[in-house]
Amino acid sequence: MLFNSGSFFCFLILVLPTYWLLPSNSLRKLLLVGASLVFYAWWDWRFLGLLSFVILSVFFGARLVLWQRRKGNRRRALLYLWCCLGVELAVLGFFKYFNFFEANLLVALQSLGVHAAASSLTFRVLLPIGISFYTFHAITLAVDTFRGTVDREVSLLDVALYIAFFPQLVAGPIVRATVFLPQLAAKRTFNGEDLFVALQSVGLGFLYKVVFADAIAPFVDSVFKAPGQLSWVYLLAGALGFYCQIYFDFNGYSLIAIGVSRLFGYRLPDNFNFPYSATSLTNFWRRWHISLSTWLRDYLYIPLGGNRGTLLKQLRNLMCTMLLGGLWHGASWNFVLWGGLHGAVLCAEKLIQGGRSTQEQRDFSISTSLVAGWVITQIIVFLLWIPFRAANFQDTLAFITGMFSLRSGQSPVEQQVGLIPWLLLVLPIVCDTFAVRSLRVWREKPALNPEMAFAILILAGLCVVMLAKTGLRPFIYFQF
Amino acid sequence: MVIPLVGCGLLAVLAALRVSPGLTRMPRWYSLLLPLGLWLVVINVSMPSPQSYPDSPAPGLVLQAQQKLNERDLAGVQYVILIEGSSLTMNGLDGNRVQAVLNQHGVPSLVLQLSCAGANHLERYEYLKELVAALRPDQIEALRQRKLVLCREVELGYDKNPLNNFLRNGSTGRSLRYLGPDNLPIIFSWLTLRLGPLDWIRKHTTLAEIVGCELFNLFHVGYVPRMEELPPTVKAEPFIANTTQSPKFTESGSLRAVEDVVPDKRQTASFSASLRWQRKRDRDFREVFRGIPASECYFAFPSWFKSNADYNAWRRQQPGREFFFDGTGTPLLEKLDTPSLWYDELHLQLPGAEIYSEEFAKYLVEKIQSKSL
Repeated sequence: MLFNSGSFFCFLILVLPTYWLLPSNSLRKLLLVGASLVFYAWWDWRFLGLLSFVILSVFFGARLVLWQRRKGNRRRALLYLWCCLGVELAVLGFFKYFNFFEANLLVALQSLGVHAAASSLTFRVLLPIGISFYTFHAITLAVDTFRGTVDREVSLLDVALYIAFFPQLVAGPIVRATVFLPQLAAKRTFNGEDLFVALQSVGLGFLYKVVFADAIAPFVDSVFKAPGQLSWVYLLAGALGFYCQIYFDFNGYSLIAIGVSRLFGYRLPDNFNFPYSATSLTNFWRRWHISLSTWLRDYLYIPLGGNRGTLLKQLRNLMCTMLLGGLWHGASWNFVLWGGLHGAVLCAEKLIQGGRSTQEQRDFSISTSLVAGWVITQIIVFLLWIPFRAANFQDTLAFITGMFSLRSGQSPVEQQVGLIPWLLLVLPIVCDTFAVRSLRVWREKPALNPEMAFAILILAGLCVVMLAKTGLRPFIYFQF
Repeated sequence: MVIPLVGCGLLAVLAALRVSPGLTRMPRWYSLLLPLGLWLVVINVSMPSPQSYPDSPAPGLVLQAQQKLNERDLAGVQYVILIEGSSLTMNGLDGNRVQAVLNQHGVPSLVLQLSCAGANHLERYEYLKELVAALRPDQIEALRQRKLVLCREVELGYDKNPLNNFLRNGSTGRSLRYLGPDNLPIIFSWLTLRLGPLDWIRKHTTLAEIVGCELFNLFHVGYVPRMEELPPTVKAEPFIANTTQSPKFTESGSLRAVEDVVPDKRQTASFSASLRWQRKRDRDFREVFRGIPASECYFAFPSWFKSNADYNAWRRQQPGREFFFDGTGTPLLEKLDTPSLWYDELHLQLPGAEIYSEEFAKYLVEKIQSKSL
C-alpha cells in the first residue's frame, strides 16, 4: 500500500477516526498494531510471519537482556544481546543478502571450475519490503535495553507497535526506542497545531513525491536504461535528474510518514535538513537521511571506536561504517562502491581538518570559502549518485565515461527518450534548497489566523493533487 | 512548464504557512470544507474531466471515426456500420475492406471502426459514448435517416471480465478515462457476481485500484493537462495488420477440429453465470445513440483455443443473438485453417484479416439483402 495510492487513502479514512474514537490507550495501540499488520500484508501477507518473528524475538531478547542487567550480570546480558543481534542480523542477512552472496559465490566457484556445486546452490529468496528498517528498529531496542537507556519492561504490544508502526514501517525514518517508547506510555492528545503540522508535512511530502520526483522519474529511468547510447548532455541531465529525484522522493516519503504519524499523535524525528545546501560531505551526512546517519554513528561507528584512538583507527572506523552503510542500501557492489567512495571523501575531510576542535569541525567546510565548499560537495554528491542508481559496474562506467568524454549519442534512442526541460530539473531543487530553507528557518514569520492558514493549506494541497501525474510510482527507498 | 513553476509556487506557500505554536483549538469546519467545495466547483466548471486523460486511445480513435464521417457525404449512404472491438478486431477486421465489399455488392455504406488492443468492454463503451457525444446535430439527424448497425465483438476473455486488462494499464490515464460513474454499475454487478467473501480479500489490489480510479473521476480531479494546453489529438488507426507470427504460437492440429468440439454442461453453466453483467451493458449500448435507431450484430473470431471456440458456439445459440457471425455456414473456417494466417491462437495476420473481413462483409450483405438487418 503506497502512501500515494487510493488504497492508502481509504485505509487512513477507516483507521484514523476509529483510532481517535477508541476510549483507552491500549485499545488504540492494539488498533494501530492491527492496522500496521494489514498495511504490511497488503504487499505480501506471507511476510507477516517474518515480521511477527522479528517482533517476538526482540521482545524476548530485550526481556532477557534487561533481566540479566538488573541482576548485575553484565556478561550474561551481553551474551543475550549478541544472541538477539545474531538473530536479527541473520534474518536481514538471509533475506536481503543471500542472493547477493550466492551470486558472488557462484562466480568464485565457477572461476575455480566447480560448476556442479554451483548449480545446486541456486534458489531465489524474495526480499521482504522494509526489512532493513524494521530489523534496525529491533536492533535499536535490544542495544538500548543493554545500554540502560531503555530501562523498563516493554510490553509485547509496545514492542509490536514500535517495530511495525505503519507510517515508518517500510522506509523509516528509523526511530529510536528512547524517542518512541515514551510516547506510548500515555494516551495521545491532538490539537490544532498537530493537525496543521501533520497536514503541512503530508502536503509537502506529496508535492515532493508526486509532483517533482514523479515528473523526473520517467526521464531518469530511460537514461539509466541505455547509458551507452546517449550523448553527454542526456547523461548529464539524467544524473542531475536522479540527484533531484532521490531527494524529492525520499524526503517526500519521510514527510508523509512524519505527517501521518502526527495525525495519530506520534512524533517522528526529521529525516532531512536541506542536504543540498551542505558545504562539506560531513555536513551533508548531518542533513541527509539523518535517522540512518545518526543510527550508524551511534550503533556502529562509536561502538567500533569512533573518534577514539589513533587517526588511522578513526579512518578505519569511518570506512567500515560507510561501507556497511552502503551495503545496507542494497545487496550490490554498486552500493558498496557508493558507500566506499563516500567513506573515502569523509576520510579525506578528516585528514584535512586534522586536529581541529569539535566546534571548528562543525563549521568546517572542505574549502575556506563556503561557496567553493558547497560547489565541491555537491559535485561529489552528484557524481556519487551515479553508481547508486546504475544497474551495475558496467553501466556506471559507461555513464561516467560518456559524460566526461562529451560523447555524442545515437539519435533514434535520444529521440525516443526525449530531453527533459532543464527548468524542471533545476528550478524545484534550487527553490527548495535556498528559498524554502530560508522560509523554514525563518522562525519569526508571522502566524496566520488559524482558519485562514487551514484554508490556504487545504487549497494548496488540492492543487498538489491536480499537478500529480497519474499512475503509481513506488518510492525509491522501498527497495531497501 | 506548469510543474516547475506552479510546483515551486505551491512549495513556497506550503513552507511559509504557520500557525501560532501551541494552538489548542481545532479549526472551524468552514476553513476545511469551504476550500474543498470551492475547489471542486472551480475545477469542474472550468476544466472538464475527459480532457484530463489524453494518453487514452479514445480521442485518437474518435477523431479518425469523426474524420471519416465528415469526409463522406451521407446522402449517398444507406447503411452506417459501426464496428467495436479489442485487439482481435484491430488485427483481424479491416473496416475499409468491409466497406469496399458492401459497396461492391450494391449496399451503399460507410463503415466506422472503434477498436484498440487491450480495450475491454468498459473502454469500448467509452469510445462509443465519446463518438456519439461528438456528433453534430446535423449528423445525428442524417444518421436517423440511415440504418445504423452496431457490430460488437464477442470474445471469451473480455466477455467474462469487463475489467480485463485493467491491472495491466493500472491507474493510468487510459483506465481512468473509462472508469467514470457511468461504468460503476457494470463493475459492481460484475464484482458481486464473481467474487465470494474470500475473493474480496484476495483481490484487494484490484478493488482498491478501482475505488481509487472511481473516486478520482467522481471528484473530477484530473492532472496537469487540465491546465496545460493539450497537444493536438493524433488520429489512431483502428485496424493495424499483423505481418509476423508470434514465436509462442503453437497450433494444435486443425482449426476446424477445435471448432467442432461441443461444450459440456459445466462449461455452458460457467459461460452463462459469468455473463449476467452483460444484460445491463446491452441496454447501455442501445441507449447511447441519442435516439438514433440501431440494430445490433455480433461477430466472433475462430480460435485455436478450445475454450474460446466452445464459447463462440455457445454464444451463437443464445436467444437475442439473431445476427451472429463466427463463420458457421461459410467457408471461413476452411480458409483460415492454415497456421501461417495467424499471429497467435487468437489474432490473425494480414492475409487472415483480409479473408475474415471479406466473409464478414458478405454475411452483412446477405442479411441486408434478405431485409432482415
